[in-house]
Amino acid sequence: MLQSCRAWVGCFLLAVAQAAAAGEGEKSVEAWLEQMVHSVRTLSYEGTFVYLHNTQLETMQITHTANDNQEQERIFSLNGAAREVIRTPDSIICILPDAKTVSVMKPEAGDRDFPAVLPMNLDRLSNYYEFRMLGGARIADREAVVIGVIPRDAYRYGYRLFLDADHALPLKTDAINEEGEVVSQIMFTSLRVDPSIPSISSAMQDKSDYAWVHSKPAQNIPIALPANWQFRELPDGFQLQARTKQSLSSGTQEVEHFVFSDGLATFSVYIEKAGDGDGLHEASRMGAINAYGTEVAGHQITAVGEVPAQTVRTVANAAKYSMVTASQ
Amino acid sequence: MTENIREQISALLDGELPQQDMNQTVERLSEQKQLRDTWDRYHLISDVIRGDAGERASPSLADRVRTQVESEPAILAAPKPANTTPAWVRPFAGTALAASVAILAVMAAPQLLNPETKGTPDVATVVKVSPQPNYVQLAPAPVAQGYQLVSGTPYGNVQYRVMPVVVARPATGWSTQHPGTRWRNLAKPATESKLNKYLVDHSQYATRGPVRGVVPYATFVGYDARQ
Repeated sequence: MLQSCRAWVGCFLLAVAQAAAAGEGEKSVEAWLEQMVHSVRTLSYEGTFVYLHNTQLETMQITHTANDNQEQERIFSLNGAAREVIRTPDSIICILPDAKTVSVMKPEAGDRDFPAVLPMNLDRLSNYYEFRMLGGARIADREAVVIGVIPRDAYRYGYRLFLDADHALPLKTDAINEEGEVVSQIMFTSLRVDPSIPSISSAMQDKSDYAWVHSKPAQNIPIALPANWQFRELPDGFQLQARTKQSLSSGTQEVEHFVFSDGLATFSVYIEKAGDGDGLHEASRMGAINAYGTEVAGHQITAVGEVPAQTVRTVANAAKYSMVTASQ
Repeated sequence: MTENIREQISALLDGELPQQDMNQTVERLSEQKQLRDTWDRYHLISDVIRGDAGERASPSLADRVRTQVESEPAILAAPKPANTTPAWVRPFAGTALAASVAILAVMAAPQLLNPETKGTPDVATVVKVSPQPNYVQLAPAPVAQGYQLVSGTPYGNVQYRVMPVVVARPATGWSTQHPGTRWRNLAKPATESKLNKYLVDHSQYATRGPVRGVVPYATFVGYDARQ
């Protein structure tokens, strides 16, 4: 009797434990994505990932630290030229040993949002994407949940995200085009999540013989200000996110820059006076990144971003010039 | 079930089934449950070998093959309607693709090996270019020109396996250097350099997005030096 009673209690406890486990396992797609966004920014991790686009394969090392809420990130190429990009809250530094150049980009004083992270607005995104759990997998010897971010039209890529079951870091990210072809893949081959990873020490030593290029910061322009350029017939959901005026290299003419995003996919449109003959007048592509250029009203329009070819083409062709009077 | 049909299923899966046997095998596959199970098993094995078997290896792929074959008797590679879920979204193990896609993928395999052919092969083309029979009987038959013997013996009444001789293509692009340009169709270095500046600048904004954090920088860090 006692024995059977014990067995019953045992069964009961087992059932409770199973129910609890099931409850844990049923985290929603939205919760996973939110955790991913949070983890990518707030955890300290380092690892090696491969990046495949077209037939090109790169290996890179990433170190990300988030000590004292100070986010730092270093991406370092393990093949070919040992290029690296270091991102801190107040600068983006590109070190190019092949060109013996260090390029430093600093935000304007007062631009505290740099580099601001857009929150993931799943409500808005769900107008343009569907989120779906696709199952489980094993990546870099870690357990992963697989999530599909499926575009509702052909103006944006889909993504297949393999999120670490513990931290929701994206262990593998496939960008998939409108044909269902994988256009780029990023996959960790090793990853260590460890809060004790030290902040990135300066990689600036031994770079004294390098040319240092200080990029002039882009001058941000309030989005609401009327622009000489209008974009009609933009693909659904893409909104103007930022607007700048800058010269991309010293001494050259100013370039107007418009950034559009649907909350996930982002592309830029650059507009400058045509005439140097170096403008893009066709479609071009590098991995998942598409570019399209055309001339409108004596200006070179170039759209570029990690979106399908027809998106950049549509947008570049949607640019219309209309002079804004000074009184406005 | 005979060893023969098993072999044929395996060959179909590998894209090595001779054209004349293909219709019959697919027909039998769609008729017999037992064969469909075999297909599933082989498919899973093939996935495992290729390294992409997931945990959700579906046992019913072949059943879906049948359903799909029945519902789309004529055009396996029909253009997909706007509202259907893209194939990659389905449970990703690869065993649960839409049947037409799965069949296409299997049959397109030899096609993909042919560097001359680009684009999505349609079924008709695939069938047309499907490889020569790879089991040649009744030796001593000379191995056809353009094929070489890879196993078996040309003598005696045995089956032996021949493989197409693939002639190496001229060694362009075999240097340790990357191709000079990574942007497609760009002739002018100045245009490319301008586009690169745009891309690097754009990266600052793209990395603010919630998902794509690493990509633009990765593109840049890995970027070919010869710009």
